[in-house]
Amino acid sequence: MKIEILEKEGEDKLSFVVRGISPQFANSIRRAMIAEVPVMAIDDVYIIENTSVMYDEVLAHRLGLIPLKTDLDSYVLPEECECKSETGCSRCSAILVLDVEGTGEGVTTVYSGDLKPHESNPDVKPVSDKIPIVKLAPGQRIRLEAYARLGTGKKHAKWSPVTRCVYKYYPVVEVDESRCDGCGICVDVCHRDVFEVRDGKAYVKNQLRCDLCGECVSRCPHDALKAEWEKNSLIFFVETTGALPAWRVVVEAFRVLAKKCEIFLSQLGELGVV
Amino acid sequence: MYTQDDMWILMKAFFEEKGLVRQHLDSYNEFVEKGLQRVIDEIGGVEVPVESGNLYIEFGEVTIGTPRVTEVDGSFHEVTPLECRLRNLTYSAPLFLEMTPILNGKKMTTKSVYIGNLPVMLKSKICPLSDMSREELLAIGEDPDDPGGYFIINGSERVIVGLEDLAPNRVIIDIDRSGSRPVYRAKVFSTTVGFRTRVEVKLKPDGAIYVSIPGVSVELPFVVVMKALGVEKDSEIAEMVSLDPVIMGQLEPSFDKAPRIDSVEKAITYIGNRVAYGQDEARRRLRACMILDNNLLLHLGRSPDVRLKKARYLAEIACRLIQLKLGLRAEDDKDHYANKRIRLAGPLLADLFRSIFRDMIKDMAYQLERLSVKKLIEESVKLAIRPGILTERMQHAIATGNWGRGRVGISQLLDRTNLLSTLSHLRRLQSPLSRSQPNFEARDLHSTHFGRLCPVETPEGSNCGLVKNLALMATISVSADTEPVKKVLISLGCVPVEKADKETCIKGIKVYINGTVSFYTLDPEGLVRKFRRLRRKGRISPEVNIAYLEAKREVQVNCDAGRCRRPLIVVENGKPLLKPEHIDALKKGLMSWEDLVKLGVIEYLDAEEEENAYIALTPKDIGPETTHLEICPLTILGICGSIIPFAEHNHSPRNSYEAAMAKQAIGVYATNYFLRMDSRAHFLHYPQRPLVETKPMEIMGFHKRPAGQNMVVAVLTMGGYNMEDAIIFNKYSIDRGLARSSFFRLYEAECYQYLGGQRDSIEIPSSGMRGYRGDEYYRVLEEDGIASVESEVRGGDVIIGRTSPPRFIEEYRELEARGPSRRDTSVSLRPSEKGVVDAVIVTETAQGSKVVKVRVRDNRIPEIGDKFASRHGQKGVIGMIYPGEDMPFTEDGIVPDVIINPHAFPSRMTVGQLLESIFGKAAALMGRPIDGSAFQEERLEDVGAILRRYGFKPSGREIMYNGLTGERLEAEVYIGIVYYQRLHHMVADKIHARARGQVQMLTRQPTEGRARGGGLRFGEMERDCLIGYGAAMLLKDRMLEESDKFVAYVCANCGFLAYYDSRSGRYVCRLCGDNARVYPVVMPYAFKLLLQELMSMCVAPRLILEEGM
Repeated sequence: MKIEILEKEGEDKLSFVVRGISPQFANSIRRAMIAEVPVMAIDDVYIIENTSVMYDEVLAHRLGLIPLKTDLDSYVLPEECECKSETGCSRCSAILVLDVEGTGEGVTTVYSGDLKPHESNPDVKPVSDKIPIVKLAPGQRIRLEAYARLGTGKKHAKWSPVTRCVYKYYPVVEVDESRCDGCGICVDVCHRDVFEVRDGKAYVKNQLRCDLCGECVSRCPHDALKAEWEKNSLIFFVETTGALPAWRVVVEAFRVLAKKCEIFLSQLGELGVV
Repeated sequence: MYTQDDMWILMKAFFEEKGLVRQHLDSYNEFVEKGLQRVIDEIGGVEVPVESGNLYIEFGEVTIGTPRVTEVDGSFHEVTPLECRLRNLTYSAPLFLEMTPILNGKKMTTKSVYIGNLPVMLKSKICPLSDMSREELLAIGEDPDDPGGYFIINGSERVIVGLEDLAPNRVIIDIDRSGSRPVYRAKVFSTTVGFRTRVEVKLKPDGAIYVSIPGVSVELPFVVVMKALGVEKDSEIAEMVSLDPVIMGQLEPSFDKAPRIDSVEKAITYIGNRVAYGQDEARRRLRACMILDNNLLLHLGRSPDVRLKKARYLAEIACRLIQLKLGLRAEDDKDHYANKRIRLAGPLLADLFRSIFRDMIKDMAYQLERLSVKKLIEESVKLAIRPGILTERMQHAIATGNWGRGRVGISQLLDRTNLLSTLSHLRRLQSPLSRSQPNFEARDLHSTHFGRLCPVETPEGSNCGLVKNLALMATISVSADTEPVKKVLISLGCVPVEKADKETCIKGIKVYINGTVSFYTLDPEGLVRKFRRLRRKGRISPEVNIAYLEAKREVQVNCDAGRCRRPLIVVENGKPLLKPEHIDALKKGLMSWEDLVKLGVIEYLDAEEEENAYIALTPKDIGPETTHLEICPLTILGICGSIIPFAEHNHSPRNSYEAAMAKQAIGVYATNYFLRMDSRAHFLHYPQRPLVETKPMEIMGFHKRPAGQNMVVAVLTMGGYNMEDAIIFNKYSIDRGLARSSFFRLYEAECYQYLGGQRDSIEIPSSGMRGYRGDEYYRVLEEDGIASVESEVRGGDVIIGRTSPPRFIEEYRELEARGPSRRDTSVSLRPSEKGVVDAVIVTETAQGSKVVKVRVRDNRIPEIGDKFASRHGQKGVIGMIYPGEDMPFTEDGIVPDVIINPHAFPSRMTVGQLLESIFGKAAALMGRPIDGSAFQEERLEDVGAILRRYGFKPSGREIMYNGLTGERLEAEVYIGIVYYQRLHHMVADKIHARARGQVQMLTRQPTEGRARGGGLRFGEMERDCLIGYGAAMLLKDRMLEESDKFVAYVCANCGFLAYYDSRSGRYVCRLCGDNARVYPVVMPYAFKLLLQELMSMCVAPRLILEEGM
């Protein structure tokens, strides 16, 4: 297996090529990234006061969907925590507080930035301060305590660390120069801007953009094109909500898989197979 | 020329000025401004014989106050509609009538007397809401965009649905071919204020003409009726019918068959003999005269001096029948919209008011007679009026829809599912035709419906084509005065019928006003042309329409109310009168729609006048003969039809399905939903404006109160959980709030007052009370006996604690030493529901009893079985919810929200949805909505190019990967964005199962229906299956053991029911006494009941017992 980083845009975005990996295996990693890498999200909300027009359950739902900065090393999943308590302990839950009152004449918008982490867990805070939660009229007030916990996307989408997490087959596009007469049909036909015509010949300009739809191949009058995928080579694209860095999501996904394999092996061991 | 956008500006000007419920408001306004006074003037006054002589009370002007409510203490104050809705009041305004008592010819002072309350139509002229600004409306808790046009009666919103009826006072001729030889028939529904009769004239196979008049059981010979009406000579009759010798010739059998009568007197006696047989001659003649005056063609008048007019009218009918027989004239088309009139709130309320007012006057006269008038007549007039009569009866009629004389369902509860359902309900029309009969022609779409009624929006099934909806720009006429019209006609050279000489009669063309021949003209074309020119100049009311029907050789002038009309741009000499300057002026707000009507640029045509018009669909189509230009082709659709994008690409029934479904979509039904207390309501959490929108949406305010969400839709089979119209949802989308909604239900408890001064009270019932349910059920109640706001409640929990006094005070005396105790009559949550207490209102009704209203809300997250639909009649329930990682994905990271099955398309041909999908995708990429209105001349956007620009295939298809296996899908997947509506049918409201439970008291069989925890019926056909299969034990189990098993005691001696007497421990048969041989017999309780019912009818059912198995 060979890995090659294609693009790394800040912490949140990552794309890389993996060679020598089957789509089935790659898919299990993709699925692990989406649904099994734990991340922090608001789970329980204690509403002390809510005189806004938004119902408690809708407000709580909105709070839950706000991505939180996650420190996977200091928190554990509630079901794996030793405290075994319902409200949780400092190892498995973090507290955030929201207290906003509509002031002045107009509308006060409550943003995720108003959601303040409790002093015991200063690092668990919203990824962005600019996510609107609710609008308040003068005099309306919201006071609440929110409990953030780790969880996985299996249970609810709010615990999924990724937004875009996909891969594609590695495309290989070739122009048979001997046949190509530079008619440019492939340039017109390709919606992914793969080709260009230079000096009366078509060239592949943007091979990795190709989605292998095959439109160019079927439309080429001279049968000069070939677009196929490289077997067992994939390009991954991972973009996170900001809760975790993209590389960490990939690493955690492998950990999840590794853990599953370990469990499987130990079970086999128990059964005396190995 | 101008573009479609210019037309759009014109259309917007129309709607900004008129709104969408103009027909109701116009009709009601006409009623309160003129109609009320007309009814009162028509009655004029009342004569009362009193001790001191003759008292006459003259009625003067009627005035209407502002809407107000009278409290129990007699005080009154102004009300807002919201207060009425919350307190179960009626939004009504007081009526004051000037009354002048005249005692023995001496006039006394005029007094303004309160005569009762009139329900007020919201946003009509007498409703204060009509001239409030948005801010003011917000301040009183109204939705500023509410259309109005309905009433609030006892707190519920009710609409008077338009009644589509055959035009009154018009002759409709047709041929009855049901017999072996055709019968030529003419029918007139003769209507004048408050009265309605039907006159039928028949030309029978024997060639003679007969007239049937209501009140006369036999058909009268035409000639006799004519003679009775004062046309004595045969020749006169013949000439009156026609001067054409051919037609006159056809009258011969009528004269031959008629009895020889040569005078008016004899003719009247002839009729008298048939209506009052056996009475003395004077009485007989009187009855005949009454019938002639009151029952025959009463719209022409009800006094003896209009008899000649009636004769002329009858002669006209006879003439038409003969023409029909000779083939000179075609049958009238009953379904032609020129022959239909729509009765709206105005005329219907006028009818109601007239009959109530009459009764009230009678009552007043009676009261006056009783009262001692000696003292002060002026005061007693006021005392003699009982305003309650009018108030109550008006309210009752609108509250129940019961208009008297068997007319029911006139008013309906306003549909508040979403904005569209409300608007559509307010623009609905109903045909009085029976829905059980086929009436095929009446249900068909007629060419004259074009632009008047929506071709798409009609229910399926029994009401198909009988319930209709107005097209967007259709308006309903209110009546215009006929006098000015007559003057104009005379000035244009028309000759009144009475003054016409023979020559004009032969050569001239008849001119009808509201269906009655009034003039002759020699130059119909010129007349019509000049008339129209005058109307465009504003010399004649724009409400008046004129048509020259060449084939029938007649000119029809219509001024009556209820004609369905539509606006068109006038074209003269091949050029539309609407100029770009007008559009500019409209844009800048310098000009209004009404100005254009006044300028004669735009005129309204009724179905009759449209027969003379040659209408171009677009400016390009204008030719030398064109008379009018269509404003916008999409206005042929109604409210629900016009939200469908690319409707013209769909198979037409699909559009009808969507029109019905759009009314079930959950959205934002009113922006003041927080303040409203609807008995049930749904509210969509994240409503979205559609990405592919239509132009009328803007007018309807759909953008501000949408009912749906844009979803990413892939067309795939995906495991088959979307077969048979199911749809697959993405769990992550649902987790993120897709299609979430709240459901509200209202629970209400009123404290009634009972005889003896006892009353209900709202409190927590104490344990030990009759009907006490157990402590845990009263868990959420606060000290005041009402559930606390935001508390979670489950089925059965008491929300409003209430106790009532015992029903019969004597009932418990014997048993309880302490005297009677109170009963628990608390209101609890429906057994199958759950929720959170949302709002509590404690108030008082007009009767002074305390009312508690509690609104419970329930968060509804989409689940398997919930119903959804696109805007193309493609409905389906959720068949599977897949987690996000299982869904297919594109390399761009797009994961569909919804997966629908490709089999939904080929047979249904909803190409519109495919277009919407691809246009929606383009709109999403561009970041702005795209117009998908029907009948666009050209689509400005080339979707393919847009998609291509943003890096997508122009076909709308994409390469996807299987989320379960990770492999690339071989086929390209059609994926795009479609606006989906969540419909209010949810499994949470339907799921039901029962093991054991309630039984009915009478039959002891399980109850029926979910609300009562009922069983599922094992019906006749199911029973047949078991019999056919021979499963006797199962059959017995279902029909007996699990149902109403009962052990009856039967006397083998006499075969009748016996019983077990527990006191003496013996089995007793009352018939046989000591001879009794009583055995227990197992039977269904229903059978025992049958035996007893038979006995009650003096049938003796004896059971013959044999040795048991």
